[in-house]
Amino acid sequence: MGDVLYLAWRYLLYHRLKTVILVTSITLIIYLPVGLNVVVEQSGEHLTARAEATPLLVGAKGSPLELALNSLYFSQDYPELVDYAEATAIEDSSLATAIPLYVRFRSRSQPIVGTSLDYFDFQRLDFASGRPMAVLGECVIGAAVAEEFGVGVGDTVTSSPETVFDLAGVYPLRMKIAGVLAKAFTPDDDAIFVDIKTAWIIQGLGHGHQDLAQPDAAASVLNRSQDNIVANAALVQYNEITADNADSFHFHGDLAGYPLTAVIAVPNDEKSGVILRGRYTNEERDSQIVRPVTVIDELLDTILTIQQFIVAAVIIVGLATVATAALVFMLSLRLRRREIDTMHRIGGSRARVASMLLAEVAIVIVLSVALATAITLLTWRFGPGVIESFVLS
Amino acid sequence: MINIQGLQFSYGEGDFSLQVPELSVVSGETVAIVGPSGSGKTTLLNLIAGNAIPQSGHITTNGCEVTGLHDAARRNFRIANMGMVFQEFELLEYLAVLDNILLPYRINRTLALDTDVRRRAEEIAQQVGIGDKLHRYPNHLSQGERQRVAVVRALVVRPPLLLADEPTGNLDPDNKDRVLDILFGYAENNAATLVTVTHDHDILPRFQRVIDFKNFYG
Amino acid sequence: MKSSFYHLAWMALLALLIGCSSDEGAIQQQEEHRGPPVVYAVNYPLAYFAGRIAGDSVEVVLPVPVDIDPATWVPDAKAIAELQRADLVLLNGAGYEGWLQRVTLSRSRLVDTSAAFADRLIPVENDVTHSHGPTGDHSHAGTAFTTWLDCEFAIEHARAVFGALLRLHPENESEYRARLAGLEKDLQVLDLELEAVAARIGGQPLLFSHPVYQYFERRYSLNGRSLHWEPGEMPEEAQWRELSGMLSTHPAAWMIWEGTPHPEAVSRLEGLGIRSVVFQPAGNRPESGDYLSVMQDSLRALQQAFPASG
Repeated sequence: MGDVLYLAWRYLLYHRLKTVILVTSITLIIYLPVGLNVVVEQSGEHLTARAEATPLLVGAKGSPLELALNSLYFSQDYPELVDYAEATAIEDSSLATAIPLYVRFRSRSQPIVGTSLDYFDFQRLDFASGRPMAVLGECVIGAAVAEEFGVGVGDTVTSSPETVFDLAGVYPLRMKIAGVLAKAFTPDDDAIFVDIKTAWIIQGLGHGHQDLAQPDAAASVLNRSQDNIVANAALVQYNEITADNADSFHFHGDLAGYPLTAVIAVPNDEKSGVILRGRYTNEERDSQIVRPVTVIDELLDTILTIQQFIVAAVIIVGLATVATAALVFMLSLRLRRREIDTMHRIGGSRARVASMLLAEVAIVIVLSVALATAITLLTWRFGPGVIESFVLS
Repeated sequence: MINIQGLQFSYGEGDFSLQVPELSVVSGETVAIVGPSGSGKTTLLNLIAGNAIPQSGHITTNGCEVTGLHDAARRNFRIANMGMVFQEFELLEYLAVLDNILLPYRINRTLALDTDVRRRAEEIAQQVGIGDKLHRYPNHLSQGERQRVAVVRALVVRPPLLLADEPTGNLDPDNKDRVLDILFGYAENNAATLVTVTHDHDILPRFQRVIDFKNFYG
Repeated sequence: MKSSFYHLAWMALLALLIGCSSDEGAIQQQEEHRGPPVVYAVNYPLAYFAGRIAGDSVEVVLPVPVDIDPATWVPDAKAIAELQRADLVLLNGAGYEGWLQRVTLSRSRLVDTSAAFADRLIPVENDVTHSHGPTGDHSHAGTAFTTWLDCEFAIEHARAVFGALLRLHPENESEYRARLAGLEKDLQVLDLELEAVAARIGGQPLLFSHPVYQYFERRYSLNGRSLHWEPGEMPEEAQWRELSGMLSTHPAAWMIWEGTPHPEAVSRLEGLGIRSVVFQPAGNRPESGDYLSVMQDSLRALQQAFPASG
């Protein structure tokens, strides 16, 4: 047996290009349906777990999927915005705890999540170091952010402009890290959490600057009346909230109209949840309420359907590949007629020579299965993360 | 060593038929078989080797009637008792020189590959001047070197009978002499029988007996 | 060997039992340690109302040091951490907590106790806003925030505190309701008595040492103007000049102080024909007594200053 495998192995090694092509083709045929299944199942479990943990989401009318993906997985695409008044209305209804979300801005590739302290209790997030944010301009980062940026408590992270050309809009805010979360194995690991008001400051809805009433701010005054001072564009606004300038930070307009991407509603009990959902269903509103688990289940059903189509296609391609491989093998035998003849003429046994030829096939299959298994294991380990980042980017 | 009686062979199609009423080769004898192309010289070699079965007649080689054996037994007998050398060398391109030499030990479990065999293979290779090429592949060797590999492959099993079919047909004069020296040297040193089919009349004086095939075909 | 095995097994079982019981002990200890819910109040009136309504069922904390006006207090990092851990934070509202927009607290634990009368707040006089560009939104104009000095509003504050405490301890509803009723009655009596003395004051011009009496003034229809005089300090000459200017159009005979005034200021005011009376807003905890006793003391001071005729 050893000799047979040795001769077969030498043949495959000598014709390595042909061997690589065969192994690759068969590996793909084996891996594609299996790997796809692993990814879909794991991603499904992952997505579902997160969705199940979030009872209700309130957002502007539009795509429930976009709302769920942005709120639960912090996708880059954010839904239509809803007013902060929506959160206060839910809170005031005494039916649910309202957790505001404003997931719009990024620090490099990491999402900045504007929210409230209730979010940490809701998601059962523990702190590896530091504490929750206490004042404007502070942030709490997920474990993966700490690793990616190489930062910790006391360091800073800076928000990124929304677009390169939007110089007068969202401008970078430097935020001090107050705490680092323990690894949660959820999208929270990749997020930077700030108070909702800090998120509004990133947007420019709130800001800090010199006191316009002071004489040294005269150059920044456009005009002045008895009860109002109008500032001009020369007024420099602070891009970091410090102990010295914190008191100068303020908001213009009514906070009730300030934007959110969503509100997580955690009903006090099942009955409250039903009543709350009923209000959104029965009344004419610009907002909607969704059950994330329903949205994600629909998404997974779609993915499953696509998966089934892909698997069917792969099976067809697989059959073609196997047929092609068989043809390659038969043609190869024909080309090796003389070699086989020589071995017979020398005195090689038919059984041995045949075993050697079959061993070549067996080795290719074993290698393909082993490679497919290895890739499947890698997929099981890293696949969902790759898929999620692809879907959510 | 070889005894042929009342041999009759044809391929079934066509007009070719081989008839050898009687032929004997003594152990240790060096015999050249000559004759026109298509006369059946190679066929006779194959029949002696047991690669083909005559329609009638007997062939006894080294005391064993090969015509009476079934296919597997003939292969086993052949690989242990006969060394085959071919005009086209017939090396396996995907095996290095040493693996080609040791091929008989891998393709039939009658022969066991052990360290003694490896050592013997390396020694013989050294003796014939290819000791430094054991890890090269055939397509990196000259014609003469490849034939020497084929010869060592035939000799490594220490066969009492060497069957060579046009062993020098593709070689230049220098390599031709070299290969013949190896074959004759082995036959002499091991009291082995050498039966060679050849078109080359220049080498005939080296053989103890020359059999003209025109007497055997019909 | 066999006896060693049983030895070990018994020890393991014993260890398990001890571990379990100590766990139970630890859990019990934890539960005991947990104690009643912690309720933070941003000023003394709210702390008083919470204490009156909830009694010992909650721990009421006023985090402001006694020597600092709660209206000007800004929590430091330690105080913010304590506020974040509190089960309930009672806010006065009306812009009282200027620091609120700059700190992060769990909204679900915050209670704006002036939400019920948010539409009746008094804007701050002469407050200058700013805007950015000709069409930009204005910054918020401030509102007066010593809302509890209007006893009707004080009752609204108390009711809001009651509602918040009920969410913490719904099982204590009847007890809390009874206590709220008692508190409301006390505040209503105070309100009536203040109305009576205000009727005696009538429309005569008054001066207030600080602009903290807006709701008091409106509730009891008083005719007052505010200065910016610190009770324990002698005002500067510029401030006296401001007063003189004010007196020309507002000839007040009484100055209502939020704390004990400087004796020199009192005598100089008397030289101008202005007498002084102290009415403490009771924003922070008093050295002695409680909110009600402080308000009653202030009421008596007013009653003495404006006695009933006949």
